[in-house]
Amino acid sequence: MDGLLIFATSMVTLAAIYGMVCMALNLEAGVGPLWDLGIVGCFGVGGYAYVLLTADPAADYQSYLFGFGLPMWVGAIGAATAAGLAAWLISLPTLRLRKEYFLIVTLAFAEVIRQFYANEEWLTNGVAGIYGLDQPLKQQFAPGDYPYVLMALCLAGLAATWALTRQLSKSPFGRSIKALRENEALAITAGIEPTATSRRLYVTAGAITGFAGMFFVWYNTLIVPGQFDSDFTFFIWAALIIGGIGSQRGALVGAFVFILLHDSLRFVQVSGEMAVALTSLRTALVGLVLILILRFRPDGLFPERPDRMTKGSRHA
Amino acid sequence: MLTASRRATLALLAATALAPLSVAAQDGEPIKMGLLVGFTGDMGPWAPALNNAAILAVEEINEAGGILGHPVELISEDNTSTVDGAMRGATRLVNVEGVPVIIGPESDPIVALRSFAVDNQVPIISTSAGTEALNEAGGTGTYIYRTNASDSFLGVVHAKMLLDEMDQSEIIMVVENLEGTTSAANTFKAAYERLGGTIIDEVVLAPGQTNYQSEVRTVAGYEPDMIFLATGQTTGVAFVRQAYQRGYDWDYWVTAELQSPDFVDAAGVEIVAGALNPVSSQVEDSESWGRFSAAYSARFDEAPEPGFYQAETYDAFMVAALAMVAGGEATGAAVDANLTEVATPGGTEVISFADGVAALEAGEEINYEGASGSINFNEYGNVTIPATRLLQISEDGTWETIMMVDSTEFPAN
Repeated sequence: MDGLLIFATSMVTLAAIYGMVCMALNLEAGVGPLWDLGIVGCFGVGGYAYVLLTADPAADYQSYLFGFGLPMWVGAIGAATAAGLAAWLISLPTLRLRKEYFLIVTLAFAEVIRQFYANEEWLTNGVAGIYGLDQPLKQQFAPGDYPYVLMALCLAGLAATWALTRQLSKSPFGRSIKALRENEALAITAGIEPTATSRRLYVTAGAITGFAGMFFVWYNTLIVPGQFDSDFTFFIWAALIIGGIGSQRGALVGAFVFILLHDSLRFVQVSGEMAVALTSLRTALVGLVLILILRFRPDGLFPERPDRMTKGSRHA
Repeated sequence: MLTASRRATLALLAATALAPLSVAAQDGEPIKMGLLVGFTGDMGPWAPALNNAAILAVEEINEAGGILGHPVELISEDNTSTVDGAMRGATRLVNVEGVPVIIGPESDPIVALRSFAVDNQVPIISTSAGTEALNEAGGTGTYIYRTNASDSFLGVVHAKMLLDEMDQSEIIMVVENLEGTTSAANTFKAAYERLGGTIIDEVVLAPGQTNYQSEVRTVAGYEPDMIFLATGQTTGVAFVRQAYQRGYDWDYWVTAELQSPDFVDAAGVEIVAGALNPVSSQVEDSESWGRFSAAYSARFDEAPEPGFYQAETYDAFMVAALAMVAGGEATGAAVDANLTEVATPGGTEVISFADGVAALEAGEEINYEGASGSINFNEYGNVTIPATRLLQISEDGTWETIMMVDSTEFPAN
């Protein structure tokens, strides 16, 4: 039973990280108008920035130049800043494009960024990645306790992300991006500048995603380009659609449901010979549940509810 | 009060951590052994073969009476070929199933699990990880091992063969700028220079060009005896043809990418006859490989293939099981303490679990000789490939084995 608890802890930890990215994506694509298929790009930039700032210098068989060994809090700020900066650069050409084209180009940018990690060995140690990374507070606790500590840290990050994204979507800025989502022409007549507002939104969501990238590094203790392929983007989108796009609660629940679904078959005990068949069922199961949700709850488990001004002002 | 409760918590946690291990020690309870590979994702196509090897190993162990009187149960777990998948898979194997040993993870997963292995005292034995990150990371006390050779071992093989068998202490490298060829060239270069060879120059070919005349001229300027050619097929063919057209008849030492009949056909026999390539493999006529191959074929209706890591996986289960027997308990600590011991030269050579148990019960030291090789872990938990064949393109255009070299004593990386 205690073992099950530690396994559940590991799942909750990952779900919390997914939850952070889900909320950032929800802010962009649910509350706001930006259908971003390249969210993994900023996630990776955040992760790599954190690693380069905090990792020790390269060993003799590695080839990356940096590894400043700075404190973790510097890494945290660096992760968010670098991802925000990357988002700003990507936004320069992409925000000229309309919805579907924006989606295609962000997908391409995420892939370009991944190829960059794989090829620029002087910076990222290439496909071999950088490993043996420290986890926060690891020395202060017994190894058996540490999974709980890491979970607590990730849940704290999740809570901070929840508070920030909620605050942002209730703010005047949040109302502006919602207006852009609903009717851009009308928003413009109301004095909202679409490109500048969208850019602020894209950079903000990018910075939050980069911040979440740091937790992903803590969870994995290494960073390799393969972690940041477009599968991750699609997982986050799937989670958001399961939960309910546009809804803060939906983004949170979607992440947990998705991870639980994805790992649910790990709870089933089978013989070694059955294992191959069972694991191949897993992707099918996730797909089936996604179809069922779209069939019976097309707006997700927790659909977005219309905002009433009285309610909005209470949270302001 | 605070310290007391804290101590109680720690005791509870310690008990939690030890609980699965003590479960395994009860009478009749099966001992679980974990296989953690990518059943889904990039490794998906290869994983069923590894799972088969694990099934075969566990069945053989059970036929021989199990480990210390307990039957063995195989728990196969998917790591989705990703690092975070490996984290959750390993957590489940250790904390839910209580396995004392995890076998199988590929390069990135096992590198990510290094501190997990020590923290939980569960040895992790890769059977396919070539990563150089493990060259000096594993061994007794670290809980990290691998039963396949490092990618850099292939570089050592090239270097040793050139230096010792061909007396070639200087060489020019011609390398196409691709991930696979560059990596092969780099591992070779490191090993060759370390073992006393000199690289005269390294000429880089940009992929996808039709004309390599200027590179040919650069190489010709050195009047070379032999050229280390690490390229893909298309570029390799273009380079050797253009050199030949200019009247240069160099000897080529090629990497694995060019070791195929296609290369000979495309380039022309008259140009590439005499080219050499070393290949590392299982000793295919060895008793241990023959025994494994026959058992595998009988069980699954297909022959195991060198390069699919089936033999490496089978061997990992065998040495882990023997280490538990040698240590007298089915714990990760016992495996870590005895894994290197049960496969060390000097002991009685055994090629099966049953023979190993019999020898251990007779009080002998044992040396498990695996299907994939001798499984002699060095101080870093690395192994070598036992045999290297030197292939050469004959005058009629076939790749012929001209030499077999025992590579057991080569440095592992």
